[in-house]
Amino acid sequence: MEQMRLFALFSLVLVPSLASANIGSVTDVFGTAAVFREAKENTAVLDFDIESYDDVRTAAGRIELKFLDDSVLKLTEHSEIIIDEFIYDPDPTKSKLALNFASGTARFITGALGTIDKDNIKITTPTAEIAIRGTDFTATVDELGRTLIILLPDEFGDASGEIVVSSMMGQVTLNKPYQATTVSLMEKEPSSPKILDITLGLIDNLLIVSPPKEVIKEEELVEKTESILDFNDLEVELLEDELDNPEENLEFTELDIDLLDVDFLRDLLDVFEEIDREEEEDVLQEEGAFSVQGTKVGFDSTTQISTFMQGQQVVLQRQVENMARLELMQTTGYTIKLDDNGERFNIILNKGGDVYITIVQE
Amino acid sequence: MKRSLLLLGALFIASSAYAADNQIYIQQTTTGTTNTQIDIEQLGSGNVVAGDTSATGTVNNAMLLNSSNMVFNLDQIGDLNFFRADINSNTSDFNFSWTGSNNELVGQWNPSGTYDIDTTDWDNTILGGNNDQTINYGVGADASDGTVNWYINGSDNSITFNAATAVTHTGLNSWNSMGSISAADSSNMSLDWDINGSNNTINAIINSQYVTQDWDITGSHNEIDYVGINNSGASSGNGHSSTISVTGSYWDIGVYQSSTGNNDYLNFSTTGSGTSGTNATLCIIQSGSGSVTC
Repeated sequence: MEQMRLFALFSLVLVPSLASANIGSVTDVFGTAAVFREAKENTAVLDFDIESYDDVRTAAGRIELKFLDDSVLKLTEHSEIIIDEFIYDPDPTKSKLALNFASGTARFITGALGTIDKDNIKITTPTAEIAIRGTDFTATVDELGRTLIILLPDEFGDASGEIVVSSMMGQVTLNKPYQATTVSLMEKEPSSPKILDITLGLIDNLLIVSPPKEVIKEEELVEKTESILDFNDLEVELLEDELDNPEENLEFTELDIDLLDVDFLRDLLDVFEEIDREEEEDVLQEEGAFSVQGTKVGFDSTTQISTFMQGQQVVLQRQVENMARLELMQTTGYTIKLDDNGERFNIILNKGGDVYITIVQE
Repeated sequence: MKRSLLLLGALFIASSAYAADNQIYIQQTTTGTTNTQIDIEQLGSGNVVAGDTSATGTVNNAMLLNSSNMVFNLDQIGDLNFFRADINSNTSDFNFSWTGSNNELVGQWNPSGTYDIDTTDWDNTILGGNNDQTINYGVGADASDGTVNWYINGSDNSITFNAATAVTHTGLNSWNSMGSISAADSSNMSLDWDINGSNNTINAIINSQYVTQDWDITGSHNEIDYVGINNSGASSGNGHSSTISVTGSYWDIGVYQSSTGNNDYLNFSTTGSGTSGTNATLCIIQSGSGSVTC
């Protein structure tokens, strides 16, 4: 698996015949970072030359690379990227780019390569392929290979380009600032794009290579922390109609935010997956033409109620000591009160109101 | 007008023209009678099958029948007919049919406790509307292992069915205070309710360790109120088991299965509903306390 992950890393090649030629250099480094070349580990230092097939890794450190076309690649802690192919030619039709993201978080800001043909650009992760044009974006790959792609804005606040994220099951296009998608499996469709309420400053902070020398005053830290609260508001906003207790369902809350910690991007993967799961349930409910509140579709371990379709009917069944089973019309509104030995459940089916059902079991 | 009556055993028949078009009075008080067979078919309106009116001069007295292994076939066809009876029997077969409107049945099965009413089958068919039937079944003795099949095809009918309840009665004209039946039991009774029509009202109380009910209701605005009590002695399986299927809207259904055990069973299904303006309501209580309300 590790080998597969490494193989799938971000790679950049100039031209086959110039495989050992310099295609860029290290322009900033902080902490522990290395460039693996032909199985040899080279400590990354300022101005270290980058070549095709280099495997760039960070541990407790960050690194910034600049390529011949002025494209910039920034890696955060515990990230890994393999440079597969990089061809730079003043003629955009002759330029090529191939990068493999293996793990961690990286920001890639295209230079002149942003104008090359899409067909000549190949960026992959363990679960997705990314086609870009004139783009500034981040890619985050977690230990499961799940991928989060965020399209960033240009200097005017507009979309910096366009990204097409593909898996074996479909593709989505990102063409708005801070629009993001995730791919959890190559055999699964990318999630529907969602616009994140974050700032470029936040991304810059996350991907800053050399931290400022001065000590950040507590008030400033508070101020910066507050500046990214919007990001968490976004998460809550995305889920507030879909989760009864979003903060319980999300591993990531505003208390988890750390300006110098990029793990929240990985946590975003969980957020997206949760959203997708809820949306899938919504789709299922829509397909079944019913909605339910107070219990979940399927077996709800909290209420101990099973809710499912049977033909054209919605079935609610609870069997603990007593048993109650209701077979109800899928388009009718039911207001149901169930009291089982003092355990009370209020269930609304299809907004309720048409039929009132009270069940008391002692 | 046609009358057909066949009785085996001691029999008293009187006929009078007042207060009704045709009246049949039956009083068979001898106990130990067996194999009684009665076939009555009345055509027309305002007919009566009841007891002797000589004492009261009214038709409100119930006819009295004592017999085991009885077969009683009754077919009243017409409107505004009356049937009033106290029947003490066991291992019997009753086939009653009412075709018409505004007919009334008031009956007690085993009010004297002379017989139990075990292993008795009763088919009661109502074809028409605005009929009113009040039946106390197994009043003074057990009514175990019985089968009661209701087929109601009509609207605005009102049925009260009390099976071996603790209600006390003292006279025919005072149903609510006539004789103690608290010890009676209707265990293992099976009831099948097939209701086609609207605005029917069914009230049923059954005192039983084991009773199985199958309700199949087609029609709108039907009101069902069923109370099952005293299944605490049920040691296995389902004490009170009810399956209710409703095809129709605006129903009002209440089921009270009162027991201290966890062996009541109810399966409710519907293809009908109410609306936000005129609701349909379902109340289900499975409780031993007897004081729970919806």
